[in-house]
Amino acid sequence: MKRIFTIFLSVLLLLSVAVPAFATGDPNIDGGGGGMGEGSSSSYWNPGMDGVRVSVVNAETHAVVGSVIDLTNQNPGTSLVHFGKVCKLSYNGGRSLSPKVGGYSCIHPSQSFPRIISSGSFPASINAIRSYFTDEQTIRGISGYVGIDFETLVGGKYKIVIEPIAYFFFNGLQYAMTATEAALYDQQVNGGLRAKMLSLTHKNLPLAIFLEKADLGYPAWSGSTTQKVSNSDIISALGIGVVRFNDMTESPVTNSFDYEYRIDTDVITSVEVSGGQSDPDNPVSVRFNIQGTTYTVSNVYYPDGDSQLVWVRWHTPTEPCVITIDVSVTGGGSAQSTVVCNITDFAGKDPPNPIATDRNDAYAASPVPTNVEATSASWGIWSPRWHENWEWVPNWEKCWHTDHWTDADGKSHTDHWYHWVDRGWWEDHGWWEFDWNGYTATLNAQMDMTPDDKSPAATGNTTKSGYGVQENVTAHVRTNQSAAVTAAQNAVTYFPEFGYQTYWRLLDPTIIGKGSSFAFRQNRYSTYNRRTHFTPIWFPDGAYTPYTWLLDCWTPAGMLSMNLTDSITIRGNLWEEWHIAPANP
Amino acid sequence: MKDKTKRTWLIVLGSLACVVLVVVIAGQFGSKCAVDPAPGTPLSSETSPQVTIETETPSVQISESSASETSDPSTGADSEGTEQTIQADPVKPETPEKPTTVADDHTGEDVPQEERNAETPPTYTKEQTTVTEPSEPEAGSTNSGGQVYVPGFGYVDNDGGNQVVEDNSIYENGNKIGSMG
Repeated sequence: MKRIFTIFLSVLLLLSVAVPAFATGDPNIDGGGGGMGEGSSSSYWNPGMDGVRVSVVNAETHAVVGSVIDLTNQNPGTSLVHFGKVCKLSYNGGRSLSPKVGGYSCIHPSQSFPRIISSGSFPASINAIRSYFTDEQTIRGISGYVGIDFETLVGGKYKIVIEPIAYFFFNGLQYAMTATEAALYDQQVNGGLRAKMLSLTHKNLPLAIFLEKADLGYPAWSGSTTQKVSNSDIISALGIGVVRFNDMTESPVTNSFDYEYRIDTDVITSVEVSGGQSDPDNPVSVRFNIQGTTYTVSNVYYPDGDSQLVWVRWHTPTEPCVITIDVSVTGGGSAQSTVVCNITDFAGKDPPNPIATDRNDAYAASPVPTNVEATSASWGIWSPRWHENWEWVPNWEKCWHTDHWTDADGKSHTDHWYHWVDRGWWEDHGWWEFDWNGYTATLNAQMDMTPDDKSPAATGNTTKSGYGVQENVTAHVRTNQSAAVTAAQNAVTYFPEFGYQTYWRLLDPTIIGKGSSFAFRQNRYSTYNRRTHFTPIWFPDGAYTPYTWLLDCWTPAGMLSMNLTDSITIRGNLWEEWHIAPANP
Repeated sequence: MKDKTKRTWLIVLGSLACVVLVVVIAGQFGSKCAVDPAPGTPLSSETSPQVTIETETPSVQISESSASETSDPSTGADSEGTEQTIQADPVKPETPEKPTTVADDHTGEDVPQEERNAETPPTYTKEQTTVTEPSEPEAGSTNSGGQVYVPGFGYVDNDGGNQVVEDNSIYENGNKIGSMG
C-alpha cells in the first residue's frame, strides 16, 4: 500500500510541475520617501534600477571633451527610450532632447558601484558614491572609455561630471534618463511625466546627486532635500556631481545686483513664480513696482508643482542709479519680493585727443579681453488648454401642435398631436491641461574695421598709424517670441593702445526691429566730424585689433551679448606722408 | 489493512488521479486548439512558411499640421505699457451643436409623421451625447514603418538591441585622488 501511495504522490508532484504558473503584474512600486506620484502598473520604477552618466569637461571653457558614457550595474531592456549620451552642460548650453528607441550602450563596471538613487527601503550613501568616483582605479577605468589620458584627466584642467540615471517604465515604455533629461522630457509631455513619476523624476532622481559647493557655474543646492522640486530647479542646479582634481571651484557669476543694465535702454526683468496651480479659473498675476510705476503682468499660468518665468519689459532711466523693484504676486503663487538693478553708463570714457608727438616706447600688446558672452537663450511658457469633455443632459418634453383642416364636406376638424423635443443642455466636465511652449533667441553679429575714407594712406584694409579707422557692427537677433526680446542696444569698443581698458568708445546705435547697427560717434577731434578713432602714431606695424562688447539684447532668460574683434593692418605712420620741400619759388 | 480497505483506497486514489488528469488535459484544450492542416498544406517544417503580414494603415494618424493649426499663444503677448501679458488669453472651446435636429422655432410641418405621438422619446447614441478630445496613439505602439511611438515626440525609428560592455578596469583600489561635491 505504501508503494502505491508513493507512486500516486509522485504522479501528482510531476503533474504540478508540468502545470505552468502565471502571475499577474504587481510592479514593485517603491515609495522612495513618498508615493511614486500616481504610479501605476504601466508607470513604475524598481529600486536599484539606476546608473550614472559620466562626462569630462574642460574646467575653464566647460566644453565636453572625449566620449560621454553611461555606467550601470543593471541590464536595461531592449527598445529602451533614451536621449543619447548628452551631458547636462550641453543641455544648459541650448541642446534639446533627441529621443532614440533601442541601441542603448552602457558599461557594466567591474566593481558594482553603490546605489545611486534612494528608495524608501534602501537609502543611497553619498559617501559611498564619493568614495567610488574619486578612486584612482575608477578614474583610470573611466579615462580609458572617455578617451583621455589618465594623467591629463587628473592634471587639474578637466573635471568629471557625474549625473544620476534612472531606468523606469512610463506608460508602458522603459526609459533611461538623467535628472536633467527628465525635467526636459516632462516639459515635452506637458507635465505628464511628473504626474505619474513625481517621487522619482522630481525628487529622488534629481536629489540623488547635487553640488554642496558651487562649481562649473552651477550653484550649491540649498533647497530642500526631501521635497519635490520643479523642472527649473532640476535644470539649473540638480542632478549633477563634479569630481575635481584641485581646489578650484567656479561659482555662478554672482553680483550684489540682480541685474546690470545700461541707461536709456529697453530691458527685461524676470522672476520665477511658483506655488499651487495657476489656470484661467485661478489666475496669478505679478506686479512690478519700478520707480513709482506699477507694471502688471498677467496670463501667467503653470501646473501644480511647477513654475513659470514672468517678465516685465521697461525702459531704464537716463542717469546711472540703483533701482529696487518691488515684486508682488496676486493669486496663489509667490516669487522673490525684490529685484535690485544697477543702472550704469558707458559714456564719458572717450580716448583723449591724439597728437603727433605721442610716444609709447614701452608698448606691449595686451591680450584681447573676453567679457561675459551669451549668444542664445531659451525659456518657455506654460499655456493652459481646456480639455473639453462635454456630456449632453437630455430633458425631453412633449411639444404639442394643433392642426386645423376641412374635409371634402366642408366640415372643420381640429387635431391635437405631440412630438418629443429635447430641451436639454451640454455640460462640460473638462479640465485645464498645460502645454509647454519653448522659445529661443539667438544673437548674431559681425564687426568690421576699415580705414577712414578720408585717410590718404589707406590701401584696402591697410593704413598708416596716426590715421583714423572706422567701425561698423551689425547685429540681429532671431527669436520665435518677438515681444519678449529686445534688439542688441549697446556696443562698446576697447582699443589695444590702452590695453583694452582706461578708455573706450560707446558706439552710436541704429536700431530697426530686431536688427541693429553701430558705428563710432562723431569724433570731436576730427576736423571733418568723422565717426572715427585715430590710431596712435606710435603704434607698431602689424595688426591693430580693437575689441567690441555687444550687449543689452534682453530676453526673459537674461542678456545676450557677444565678444567681437576685427583688425586692420598698420604699415608705416603718418609722418611718412609728410616731407620737407622748398616753398614755391 | 484488510484487502477490502486496500481496494477502497485504490479506487479512491485512482479516481482522484483521473480527476486531476481530466482537469489538466481539459486545461490544455482550453488554452490552445489543435487545428487540422488544410488539404494541400505542406506538413514538413522544411518548407518555407508562406506568411502574409497585413500592413494596415494605422487608424490614428498624427497630423503634422496640428501644431500649425493651434495658434502660438505667445503671439498674443503684450510687452508694451504698464499692463503686460506673457501670452494670449486662453480660449475655451465653443459649446457643441445640440444633438437634436428639431429647431426651437419649428412648425408642425417640420415634424416627420413617424415622430408624432410616440410614447417614448427618441434615444441617442453615445457619440451624439459626448464630445471629448481624441487620444494620442498608445506609447510604444508601432506604425507601418516599424517606428515606435514616443509620447512628446511621435514615431521614432527603432535602433535595435543594446550594447553592453563588460568592464574589467573600473573598481576601487583604495587610493582616493579627487574630491567630489
